[in-house]
Order: sequence, then C-alpha cells, then structure tokens
Amino acid sequence: MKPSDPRDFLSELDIDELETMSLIDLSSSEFEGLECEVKITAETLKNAKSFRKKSKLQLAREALNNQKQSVSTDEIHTKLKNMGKDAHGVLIDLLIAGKLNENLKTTLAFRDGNDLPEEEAEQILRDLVELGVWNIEE
Amino acid sequence: MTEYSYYSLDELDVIFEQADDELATRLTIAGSKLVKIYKISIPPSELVQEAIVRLYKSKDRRNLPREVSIFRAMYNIMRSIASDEAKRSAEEIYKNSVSIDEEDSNINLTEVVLNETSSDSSELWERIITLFPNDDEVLGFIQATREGYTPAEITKHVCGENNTLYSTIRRRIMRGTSQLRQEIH
Repeated sequence: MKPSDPRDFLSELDIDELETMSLIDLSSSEFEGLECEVKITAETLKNAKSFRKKSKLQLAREALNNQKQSVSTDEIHTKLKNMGKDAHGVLIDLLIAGKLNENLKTTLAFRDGNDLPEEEAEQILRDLVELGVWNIEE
Repeated sequence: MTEYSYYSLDELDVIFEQADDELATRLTIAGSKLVKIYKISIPPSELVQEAIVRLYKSKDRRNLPREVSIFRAMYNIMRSIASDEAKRSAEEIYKNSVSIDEEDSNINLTEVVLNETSSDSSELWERIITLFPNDDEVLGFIQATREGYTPAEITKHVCGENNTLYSTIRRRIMRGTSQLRQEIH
C-alpha cells in the first residue's frame, strides 16, 4: 500500500468548509486579491463547451495524422513498385548519391552482414521523406 | 460501496452554461487554497480550466457523478491536478539539480524525489498527530490514512463498518486541524 501525502489528507478536509461556509464568510477570509481570478473562472465555466469542441478537434486531428501515416506508407509502396525496387535498393541509391547523413550511414554500416528487415528499411524511407532527404514526388 | 452514475457531455454543457457566480467564487477560492497547500505556481482559474479540460478529454476522461455536488466533484479533480503538479515540479527541480555524472547512472527519479519529499511528509504527519495526543480513535484514523487506506477501508477496519463513527471522527479531525490548515494555506 502506498503511503499517502498529508497534503492530500488536509486538502480533503477543507472540502466541507469550502462547500458549506456562507459565501460572505468565505469571501471575507479568503477572497482578497482574487477578484480577477473569479472573473476568469466565471468566463471559463460559461465557455466550458469550447473545450469540448477543442477535444473533438483534437480527435479529428489525431485521426487525420493516422490517415496521413497510412497514406504515406501506401505512397511508399506505390513508389517502390513504380521504381521496380525495394526499400533496400532505394537506400543503397541514396547512399551512393551521398544523400544520407553520417549518422544514418553509420547505422546502415553496422547492419552490414545482418539483414535489415524490409519493414525497417521502409520506416527509414518514411523518415527520410519527412526529413526531405528523399523526394517521393520525383 | 456507492454506485455512481455520471453526467453525459451534453448535460455538462448545460451545467456549466448555467453555472452562477457563486460556483465560480467557491471554485476560485478552493483553487487558491490548493495552490498554497501544494506550493504550485498555477493560477486558481487555470486549475478550474484544467479540470474542465479533463472532463471533456477524449482519452482518460474524468466523469462528474450525479450523486456528488458539482463543486465537490470539481474540487476533487482540481485536488488531483494540484497533487500531480506538485510531484511533477519536485521531479523537475531534482532533475535540474543533478550533475551530468549522476544523470548517467540509472537512478529512478521518481523514487529519489519521493524519498526527498517523504521527510517533509513525515514532518507534516507528525504535526497532525501531535494535535490529538489522547484521542486513540482519531490517531487510528490518521495512521490508517497515512498508510494509504481508502475511506471504505478505514470505515471497515478502524470504525467497525460504522459510517456514523467514520463521520464523527472525521469531524473531530476537521475541527482539530482547523488552525493548522489555516497556517499552511
């Protein structure tokens, strides 16, 4: 069992007073300097619905990003098919053309003698498209 | 155990649209107290806003139970946000204070921060306990809370399944800690 934080215990005890104390008593002891904050809170509550819309927007954006990712995978497959090459072949072309940075060259060099799965090679190509190293439109 | 039913998102829209200034005032004052007790640097209105965001979130959404007042339910969400933020800040401060060498070792940051803050926690628990030198029921209640027992478990193990006794002891603790709570707020 996880030991509890005494602040959680004490703040839980505040709840009854905060809820039942008359607003006049509560305000006279605690309100000082909070006028502006109360106004912002009141506005936030009135506009709470906008957070729901934002949440919906976030969902839509996530869906779009997922879609983009799958389109990008499909595009890579189509491109490879059109080129008549696999992802390994394209990576070798890019290596020869000097388009890969040192880090990636080292990564690939250390794979020498070991199989780089096609799926992993495609992932590298997707990253290279995002980095602008490989132009899929060309 | 109490079974809860929860407001739908459409119902929440209406509840907040109809919220009066009293709710805004109570929530802001509550937020202000939480900011002080947890020593966090978030304005009270932002705690309210974050609570609302969590109610409308698409993932891991918090719910408002119909059986609990809106103020109480919102306060509990704000309390949990403040508590998390305090832990996050403590981790952040620790992270910034460790040297590069220490960063290299595989230390468990959360554990280190918990150990560092546990001495503060112990001190505060001791302050609470010393307020009730001769009240065994209260001390049993506090000890069980300190060890992480839930209210339901305390009712069962400390109060012999007696809900009234639970409320009575809790009220005694509220009265007894009143000054301490004023001090740390």
